[in-house]
Amino acid sequence: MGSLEIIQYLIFVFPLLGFIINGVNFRKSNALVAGTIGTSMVFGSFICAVLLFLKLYGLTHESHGEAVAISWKFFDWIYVGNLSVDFAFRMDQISALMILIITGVGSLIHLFSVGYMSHDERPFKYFAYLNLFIFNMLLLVLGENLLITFIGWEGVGLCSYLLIGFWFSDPKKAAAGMKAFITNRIGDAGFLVGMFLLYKFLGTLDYAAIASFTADSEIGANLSLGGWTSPATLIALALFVGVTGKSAQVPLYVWLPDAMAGPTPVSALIHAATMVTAGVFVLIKMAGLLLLTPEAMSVIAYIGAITAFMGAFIGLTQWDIKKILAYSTVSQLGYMILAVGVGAFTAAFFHLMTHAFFKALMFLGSGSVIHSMHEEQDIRKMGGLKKAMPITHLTFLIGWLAILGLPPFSGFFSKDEILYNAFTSHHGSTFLWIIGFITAGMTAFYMTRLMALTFWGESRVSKDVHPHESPISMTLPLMVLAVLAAFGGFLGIPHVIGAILPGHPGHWLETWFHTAIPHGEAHEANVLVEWVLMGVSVTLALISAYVAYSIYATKKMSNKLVTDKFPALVSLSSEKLFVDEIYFSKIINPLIEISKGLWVYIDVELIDKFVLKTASFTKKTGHVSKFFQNGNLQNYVLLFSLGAATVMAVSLLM
Amino acid sequence: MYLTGLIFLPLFFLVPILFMKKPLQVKAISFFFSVVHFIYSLGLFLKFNMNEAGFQLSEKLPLIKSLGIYYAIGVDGISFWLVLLTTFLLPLIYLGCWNSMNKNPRTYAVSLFLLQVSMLGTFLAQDLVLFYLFFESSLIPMFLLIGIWGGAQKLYATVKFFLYTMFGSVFMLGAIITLMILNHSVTGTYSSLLSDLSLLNISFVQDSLFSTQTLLFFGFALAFAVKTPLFPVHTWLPDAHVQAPTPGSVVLAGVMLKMGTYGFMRFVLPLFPEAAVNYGWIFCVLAVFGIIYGALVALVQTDIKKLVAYSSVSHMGYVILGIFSFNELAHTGALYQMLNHGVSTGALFLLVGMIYERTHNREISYYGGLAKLMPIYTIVFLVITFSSIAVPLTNGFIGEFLILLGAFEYNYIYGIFATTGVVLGATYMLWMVKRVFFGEVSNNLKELSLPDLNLKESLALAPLVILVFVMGLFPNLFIQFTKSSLDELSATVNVEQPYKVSEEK
Repeated sequence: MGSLEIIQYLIFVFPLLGFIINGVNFRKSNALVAGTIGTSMVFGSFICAVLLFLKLYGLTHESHGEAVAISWKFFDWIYVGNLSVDFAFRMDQISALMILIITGVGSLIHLFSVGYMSHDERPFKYFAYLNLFIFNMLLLVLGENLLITFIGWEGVGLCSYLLIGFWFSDPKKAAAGMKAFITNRIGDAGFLVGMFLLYKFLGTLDYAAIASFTADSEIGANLSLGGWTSPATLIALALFVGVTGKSAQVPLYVWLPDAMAGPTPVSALIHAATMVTAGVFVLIKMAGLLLLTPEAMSVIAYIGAITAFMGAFIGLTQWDIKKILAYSTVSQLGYMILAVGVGAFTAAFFHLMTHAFFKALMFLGSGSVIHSMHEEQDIRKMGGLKKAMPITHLTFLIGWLAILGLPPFSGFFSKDEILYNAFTSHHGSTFLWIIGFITAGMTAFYMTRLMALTFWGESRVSKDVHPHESPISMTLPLMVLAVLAAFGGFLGIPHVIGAILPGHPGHWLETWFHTAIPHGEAHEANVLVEWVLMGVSVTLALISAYVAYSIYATKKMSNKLVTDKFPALVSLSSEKLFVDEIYFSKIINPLIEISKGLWVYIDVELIDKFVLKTASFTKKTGHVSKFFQNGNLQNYVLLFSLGAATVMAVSLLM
Repeated sequence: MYLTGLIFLPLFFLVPILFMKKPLQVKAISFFFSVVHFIYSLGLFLKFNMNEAGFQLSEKLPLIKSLGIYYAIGVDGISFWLVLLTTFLLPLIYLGCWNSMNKNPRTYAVSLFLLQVSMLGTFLAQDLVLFYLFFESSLIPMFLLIGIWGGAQKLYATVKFFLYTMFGSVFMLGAIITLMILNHSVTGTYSSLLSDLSLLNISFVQDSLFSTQTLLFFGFALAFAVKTPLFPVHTWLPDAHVQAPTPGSVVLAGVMLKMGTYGFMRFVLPLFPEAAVNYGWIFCVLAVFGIIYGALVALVQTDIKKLVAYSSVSHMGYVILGIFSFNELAHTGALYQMLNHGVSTGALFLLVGMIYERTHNREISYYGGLAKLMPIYTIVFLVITFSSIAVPLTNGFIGEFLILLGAFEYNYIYGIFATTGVVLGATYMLWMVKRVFFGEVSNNLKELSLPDLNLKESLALAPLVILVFVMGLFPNLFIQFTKSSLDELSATVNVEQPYKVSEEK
């Protein structure tokens, strides 16, 4: 076994081992031991990821524009008929960056958890689940085919279920976990249908084979034949149903805000940085197929835009610090999906990455705040925390600058690339750009509101709470993530900016993905448009941030102007558009009523009555029925033997 | 003689058991014999050749020569794992229900060992009359189990069970006799051997409900549909399960239901291929309806055991859909799903029995917060739940995936509707889990002392939990034994396979 093969095993073995060790010890309680095991296992996985990345980096460099990837196989998995699925992996340029994010950000969040979970009763179990999550996430992104991805896809959902309901004694938290799993299952059913259709039309589930089929002009033409009912459209839309579940898009996003019931580091890792981006990842992997179906692309783009808008709109009026971040995540995921829908796959990945940095940072920051505020999550009861928690504040500030999209912070580059593509791509439109643009304005508002109410202004902290800075194990991850959130954007410097910078840095991500992501029709770069778009969105972000700052920090302005004039709009936002209520009254409750009806009327009233009526009819017609009515064993035996004897007698006579 | 030994060994076991007096002695020796029987059945691995499609280890003795009724038995890829499932479950039942079997353990042993004989005979018979005898005889010990140890409404449950089964079997008996006569009219001799009857070219007229093959097809199908049970002839099952003691429920769900689906694969498809293809849509529609219906009704059950019973209706719907999708993917999935259902639903009934043993209550609303009191029990219950809702890397996923994949190949409309079961299955199971295991510890449970799983119970569940993962991770280990036989079965029913866009290259 070469060193490469060992690494290919170890990247999975580490988190799995961590799961087993901590899982077996689940009764003992010491966060330090459990955390050290958990964190070092993920860190070990991170080292493997780095080594694998470097290997692929070298290969990509030597390949001179040919597509390269690292493939390996554990064993044959399912071999039936023409279907042969291996338990095998394929690391291309997309997966390589994903595993770095998963294990890198994952390590930091594990480290953060050591402090955060120090007072918990069952830290062993917590770290076991967290390690299992990393393992499944690696399966998801490294899988050679969609079925291996699906193992991870459901596996991460399972871990999410277990971790959201980690404090299961609280029925609300247990319910949130269940809601997450079932909502995701709706999506998973779509994902399954997508796979079945793929197999039906293409006879394969392998990413590489799918890519080569869709790249073939003849097969491609066949796949895109039929518009809205073309194979490509059906497959893409079915898979996209899965994406709306996992990546929290309209209409299945409702589980994500509730998922905040889990421990805050879980929200950072699973519900911001990694799992929820799995849908975006799969769509990027299926780019070749998506390009065959403008119909599905437009659905994806509009769902993304609507989700981005809705998430931000609801985020404007929430008071729970984690809920604001959750709706912000929904909104930012909407941006990524929008990017996919307009064919800007690289931009989608770029934002996935920068978002993983700045949103994980802010979630952990909120965890640090919540931890020091003794589980308080209402920002009305915070304020002025800047002094007590300088590191948390400073790092959160960087996350805030990044999500606002101010240069040179990471969010600026990725978000502007999406908005630019929404405007110029032939899959995009001015309308999509306007939605994205307004969303950016709302984003700046609600994030500034959060900053102002939490860290700035005067303190509204109750007297018996004494906020303090968190220990180094928690602030260190914040600092590392802050650096990434600040500078991560340099991996994708747009050409118009690169052109005027010394040394003319290029768009590294674009080069890196050159062979991994098929290109749509190239649209002509318009330097002027790009500068103008950048200018207006930065200006908008600054203006709305200033307004929010004046309202919530310095109180120079008042939001009365809006709240008095449009109370309906405000309550729509604060009541989350009543989506949960509608789902309950229109879908879930009727379904339960229907089920009760089925049971009572069909099973009991119809079928059973019919059976028993038949029986009593027989009773009236003759004494033979006694057998049927008392179910007596002797009678049955007698009847049975009679039957057997009759067979023989009848046959003998013939 | 190996297979004959396999079928009738339990009868010999009963001889010493009947002379035992002390309950503990009886239980211990019964358990010991069940293990011996299982070990004996493992001999199949040595004797069975997985590359052969037809019957192996065949034995044939004339019973009534003039009628062509034979004692003919043999094993092939379709029955291989079902036989092993049958012998595998009994020792686990003894371990898992140890304490609840104190009342009349000798009668327990008699019923359970007689059941083994009938079930093994059913899976191994190659002669239709012999099959019928074994198939029907399984009812007697099951009646004993429900009749002696059953709950308050055992009479109602047995009557229903009886009515349904009689109704189905009468038609099958008629069909068997007709087949024998047909054989006589063609070859001049009577025969009820499967190998003879499958050579008959039974006349089939398209679109005529009264062509011979169609009538015979429905005669058999009805008996097996009741057994499976397929909607709408399923309503005996929830009552039988609720009234049956845990060992009865485990055998019923674990093995007996498979006698129905096995019958479809063994007899209905090979003997009546044209009718099966022509009228398969009826069974697909009922199966898909049953998947959704069973899940919805399970959703609103208040009794845990009844919930699991209705989930069986849903799960067995998948099996029927797989059988009537007529391709190797779906057939493999269907067979796999039968084994899965034996493992997971068997385990679920054992688990429900274990908690019932402690609380004497099965109402979901009675529970709450059980995870805090019985952590190991909770973990096992969750693992089996995930298997039951087909999470990947558990056995459940392989079966469901292959069936649905095959159903899509056959007709994607069925596939799409059946896929909704994936969502509903998760819903009823997780909602129940949430109410029973999570939340605050309910007041009812606070007063009880609830010990976690004891050693025997853990030993009973451990093999099932291990199988859940082994079957999920290494399906090829199992599929390789069924491959040749299922290849042949799919070839008998000739259905056009869908055209793949990628085939052009």
